[in-house]
Amino acid sequence: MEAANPPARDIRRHLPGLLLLLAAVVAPWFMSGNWINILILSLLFVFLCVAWNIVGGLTGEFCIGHSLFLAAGAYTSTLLYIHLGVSPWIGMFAGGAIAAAIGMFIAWLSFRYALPHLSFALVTIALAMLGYLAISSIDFLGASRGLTLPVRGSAWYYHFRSDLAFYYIILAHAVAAVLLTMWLYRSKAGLYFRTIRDNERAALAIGVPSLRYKMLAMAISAFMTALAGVFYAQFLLYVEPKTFAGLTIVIEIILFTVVGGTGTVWGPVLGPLLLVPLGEVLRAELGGTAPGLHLFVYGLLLIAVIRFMPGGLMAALSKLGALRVRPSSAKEA
Amino acid sequence: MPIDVLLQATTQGLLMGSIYALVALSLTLIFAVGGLLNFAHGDFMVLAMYAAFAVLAAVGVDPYLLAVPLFGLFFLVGTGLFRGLVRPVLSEGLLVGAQLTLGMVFVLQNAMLLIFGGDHLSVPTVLSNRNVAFGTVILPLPLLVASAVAAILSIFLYVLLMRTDFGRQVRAVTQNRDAAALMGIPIVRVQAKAFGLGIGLLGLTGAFLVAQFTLTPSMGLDLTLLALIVMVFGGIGNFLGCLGGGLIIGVIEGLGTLFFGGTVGAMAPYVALVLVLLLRPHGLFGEH
Amino acid sequence: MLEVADIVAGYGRVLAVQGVSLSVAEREFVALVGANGAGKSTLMKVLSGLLAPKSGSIRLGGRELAGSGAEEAVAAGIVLVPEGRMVFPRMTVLENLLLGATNPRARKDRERSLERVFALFPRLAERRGQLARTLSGGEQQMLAIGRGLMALPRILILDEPSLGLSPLLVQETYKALQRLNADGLTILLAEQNVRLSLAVSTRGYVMEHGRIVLAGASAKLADDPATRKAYLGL
Repeated sequence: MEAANPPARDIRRHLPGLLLLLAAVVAPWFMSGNWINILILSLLFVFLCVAWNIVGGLTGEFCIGHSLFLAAGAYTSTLLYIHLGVSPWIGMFAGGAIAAAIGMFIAWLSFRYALPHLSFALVTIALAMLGYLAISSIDFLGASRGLTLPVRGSAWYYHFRSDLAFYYIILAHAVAAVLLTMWLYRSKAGLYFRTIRDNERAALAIGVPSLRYKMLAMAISAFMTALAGVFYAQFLLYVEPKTFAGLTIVIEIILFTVVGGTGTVWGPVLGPLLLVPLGEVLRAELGGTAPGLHLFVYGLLLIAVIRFMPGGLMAALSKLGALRVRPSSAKEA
Repeated sequence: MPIDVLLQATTQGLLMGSIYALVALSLTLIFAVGGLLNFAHGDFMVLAMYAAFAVLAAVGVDPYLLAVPLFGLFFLVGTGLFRGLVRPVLSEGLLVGAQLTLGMVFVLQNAMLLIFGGDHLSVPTVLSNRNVAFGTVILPLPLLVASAVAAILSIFLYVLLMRTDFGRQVRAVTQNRDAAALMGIPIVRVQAKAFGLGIGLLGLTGAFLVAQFTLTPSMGLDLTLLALIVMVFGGIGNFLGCLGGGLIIGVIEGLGTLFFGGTVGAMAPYVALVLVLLLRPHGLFGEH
Repeated sequence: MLEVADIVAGYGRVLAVQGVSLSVAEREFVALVGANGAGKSTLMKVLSGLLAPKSGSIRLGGRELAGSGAEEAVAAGIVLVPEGRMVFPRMTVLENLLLGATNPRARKDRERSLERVFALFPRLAERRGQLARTLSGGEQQMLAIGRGLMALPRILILDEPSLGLSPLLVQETYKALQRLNADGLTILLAEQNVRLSLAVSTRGYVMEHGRIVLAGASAKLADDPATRKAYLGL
């Protein structure tokens, strides 16, 4: 329906996004290595939040189990790399496939047993805990010590001397993810996702194949989250359960997305871009004397946004009229 | 497996279970009356334990003596939180409420980390390191006291909910808010009081449990999850179910650890949670 | 006693009630009739304080109650027996009745009210320990009315009490209402069942599209060609 727009209006509508992209491309030239690291982490969370939003925002399923997908990606590619010498560039598709399969299984469970939202959240949190406990105790997976990745030192093995390469890789991930959600919003699939979110029974009644589309949303979201896991593992050069399979990172993903604006295209971009640097600066300045301060601040911000800015930053921005946001019909459920 | 080891594990599981039951009961109370799933539930209890530790360290008052003051303080905190934070967002739905409490998890856990540091702490009380023997079963006295108190409080709470005007009003609000309003029930006041009672009980329980746990700031979420499991087992919103669910989880955990070691013991309740959610969505004791 | 003036109310932009005025005198039995969707239920919610009106006034004995909430309305003596009965399903008959007497004025006389309700509906006394959801539809209606009486209403408002009941049970319910009215209770009855409600009431209002379109003595209304044609299908 939007295709009929004259190109000039189209460009103006996308102008903020294009400017943001341009800024992201040139940003590292003006920055110290430390800031590039912070931006890498921010973009990683942009990617994670955009991925989570496909399930948590578009289909409206409150999934707390995304640590499973992150771990599936990170551990699969790492094990293939360590034991079989498979490049993570290939391993990431294996990890993504496993994550997508787990995601589709969860979506199927939820549909088969007609889980209400609350039960779905509880099932996913329980599965996440099970994954965490399992990984922490299996020696082959490094148990709670984790696994260290050997450095082969070449781009073919997803290894780069300069952080700049990592920066542009995760930027490409994030841009692709945003383009994907923009497309999803306009596509038939996106329409079905939102119909399912707003009223699943009605969606079924008008012939939306609810199960298939729920599984599709979960598969896409899980696959992307697994890719993030692969990237994070390669960037840190180790995997361990607390970082990759714990609940903290899931809560962070949900928190950034909610602060930005669940169910919108730009909310999950804006949230981490503002909060991650804030947290990292706090951690760098006060981390030694005040561990946990950044998480404390995240928590306060989340509470403040939910209480005083329902719908997150995007809702507040569109209220201000500062940005022309496409109506997302987010708050009808 | 010798029978007395089995007996020991079962008894200890039952004792822990009565504590879980009380925590789940207060979680259910808060959920039932306002539709808020409180992920920060365990963190409030850990906060109470740290508060007890701080007072002990500062002025040397035994944690057991702090139970009643902590109840009062946490009651006020609970009602304040309800009126200031929770009530204004309740109309936004279950998930927004849950997200709000996830924010509280971060705030509480990291506030405690900031103040008390991340090291494991054990807090001595007058009863520490004393055991009681019943035949071959040997039980730590602090655990015995804590679970006895939890059992008494659970029964007290149950009677309060089932036999008093306030309890009837709470259940009325739970079952049909509009109809409750038509009875002239002051909905917000009842909700705030129930919320305060739920949080207050955590303050009280924390004082009694402090001798039983090694404290870390991040342990609250595990306690919340256990309470959630108990709540789901009992059937969400079913107060009597919580009592049964707590005992069952305590025993599952105790025997699971005994037979399979720590990891499987820790995993067993989550497996059970998934199965119950899928197969018996109204809880083990609820009817379909 | 009850003076309702120019009430405008609804959900969102849909105004189901568009300027309704009516009055009920002490000891009167007034019927408010109209088709499904005429706005009766919305008006009942406004009167009981569940829904705040956009504008207008509700006075009971000179006290302004519009928009002050259900707790105030019940305390002042306006008690609604809601559509669909809304008994508390997982509580016993006795507990449902006790909850009716929540307002401070009624709480003091709770035991006496209970005896009166049990005398009026002996079936409820027999089933006092039973969970409300296990009652039949007719028994649930008795319970809803009994629960309303426990609040010691100065005016009892009923929204579609005949809904879903067999004709025999409807007769029985209406007889009970007539008896209560004869004993001095003021009643406002909102009903789709025009014939019956005009037969038991003394005065009636006809509501259509959110407005009062006809008013008068019930007997007259029942004979009015317009009412007969529109609502009685005669």
